[in-house]
Amino acid sequence: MEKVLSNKPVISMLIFPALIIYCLVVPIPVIASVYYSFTSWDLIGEMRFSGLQNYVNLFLHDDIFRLCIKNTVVFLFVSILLQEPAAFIFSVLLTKGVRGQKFFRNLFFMPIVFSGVSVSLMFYFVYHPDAGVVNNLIRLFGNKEFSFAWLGEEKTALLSVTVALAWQYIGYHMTIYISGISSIPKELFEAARIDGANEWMVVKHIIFPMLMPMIQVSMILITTSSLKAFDYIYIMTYGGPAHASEVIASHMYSKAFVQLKYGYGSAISTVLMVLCIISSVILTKVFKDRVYSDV
Amino acid sequence: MALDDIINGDEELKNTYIPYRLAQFDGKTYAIGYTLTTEVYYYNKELFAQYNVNVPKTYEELMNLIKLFKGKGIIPMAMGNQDPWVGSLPYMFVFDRIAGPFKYEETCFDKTGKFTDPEYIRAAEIIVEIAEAGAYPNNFNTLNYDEAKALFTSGKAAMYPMGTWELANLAKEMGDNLGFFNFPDIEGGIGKSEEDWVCSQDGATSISAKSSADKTEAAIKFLKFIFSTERLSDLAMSGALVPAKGLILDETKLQKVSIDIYSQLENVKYSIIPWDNLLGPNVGKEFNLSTQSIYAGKNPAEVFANLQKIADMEWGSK
Repeated sequence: MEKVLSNKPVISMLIFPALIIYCLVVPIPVIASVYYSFTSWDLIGEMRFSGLQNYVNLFLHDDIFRLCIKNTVVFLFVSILLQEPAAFIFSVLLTKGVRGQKFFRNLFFMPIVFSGVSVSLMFYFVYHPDAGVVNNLIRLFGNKEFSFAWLGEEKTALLSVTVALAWQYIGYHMTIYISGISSIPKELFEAARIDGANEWMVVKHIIFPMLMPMIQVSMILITTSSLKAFDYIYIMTYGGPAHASEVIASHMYSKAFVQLKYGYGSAISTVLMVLCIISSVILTKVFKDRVYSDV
Repeated sequence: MALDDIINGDEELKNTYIPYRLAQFDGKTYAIGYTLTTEVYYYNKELFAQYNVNVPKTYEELMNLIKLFKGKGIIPMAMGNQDPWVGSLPYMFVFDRIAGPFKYEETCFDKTGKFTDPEYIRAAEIIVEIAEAGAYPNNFNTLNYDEAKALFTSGKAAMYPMGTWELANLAKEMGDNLGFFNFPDIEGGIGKSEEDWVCSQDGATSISAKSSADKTEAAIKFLKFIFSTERLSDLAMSGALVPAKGLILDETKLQKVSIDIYSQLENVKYSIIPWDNLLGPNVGKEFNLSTQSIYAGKNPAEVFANLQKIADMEWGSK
């Protein structure tokens, strides 16, 4: 049996069907998309080759795209700010062996299994000016006439969406960190305590450095998914009001599928893909020297 | 093929046909529509009677109505601008009354006019005037479509600018209490409330120019049949809104509101097509977002300059 499985031609043959399916589903459509980005096509008529025209329009003439880039970057940094520190703190607290630890771990993890669509809809109602939980709480404790459209005002629309996203995914990053902390050898903690380290020093000098691989994974995941964020925006604000919460993915949807400018939309999606690749490479480089493999 | 000769040659067609800009090309008519959608100001007859007021004939009267209802604690007009096209409806009316029915064609059809022209900005200032007089509910700019409709049907709002696709629903909820009027004239303006209506036709029926002679003849016969006064009247009686005048309607079987709409249609000289349909999915959406921004307090001159930039990019003009 082992001879068969280590036989290279056999391996290739067994992998081949899966490889075909993978090629059809991932690389080929990606390459096709990049190709479309150099054309002008409305999905119905003929496809005209237009070279770099889409990219020229995108970077020089599309004011909304510039706003999208700014919004996407803001979205990314606010998401990191809301999710990472909280996930880290929760993971440290929930690996100490406190009472109800397992309960809280499960509780914080639970929102992740909900579909993004249902969480978005729920928060849509949470933020509702009249019937929403947020405004009703403010009315309960303060101004009785308070009525604010969190998702309808341009200053708060995007940030409100990031809060909803954070609610769902803090548990995700927390779980990554918990698994990381659990794999730190107990001897390190014992040795540190014997040497007189207090809680904060343990976190700073043991947990944080040992968790670097996990932090790297978590950061790459949060970066790529924030850059691609679409369903939350689409459901909660549809890019509004007046593009105040428009991000790269929602702009791409609007151009490609609503306005039927498929070539232009493909250009936007290509830019997004390049952005994700670049940020992954940067993150990997930043973490390269800080990740200890084995102590 | 061009249908003008057929329409003008047939007595019934000539009497019922309402001209429609989108069915025309190079001055000739190429299609006849059989569904009509128009947009009007619905109003609650009971509330109007209760406060002894009449349908406004001028802009001053409309503003007085708004002040009166607001003073009595009734929302003057229900509006849910979360879908930004809703708020663009008053804008189209106001623009027509100021600048007349043809001005918007320059910009929306011919692409020679500009959104930065003074009439567009003046119209924007007027819709802000209406909003600031307290015409709309709180938070109307983010209010949901269905919630706004509920405000009207439950009697909390006196008026409701909306389209006739809601006619059946509203009539079911409000029965004979439902009335409508067209946005009144603005003094010093060109457009007339009697003659200019915001409406669009659907169900365009045309005849191919490539058919053989006897097929074309059969098609023409069929066209004259389905657009005969009798057939159109039957269609109207079944509840659909038909873009035709001179119909024979049984007043006892059709709702009063529908009968009123048909009698008003007799005077329609110009159909203002909803702008976002004409401007296409990109500029049309931006136009709606522009009116929404103006309600939110943005400077109309800036908003329209932005809109013009987007229009220029879309249509390639400089």
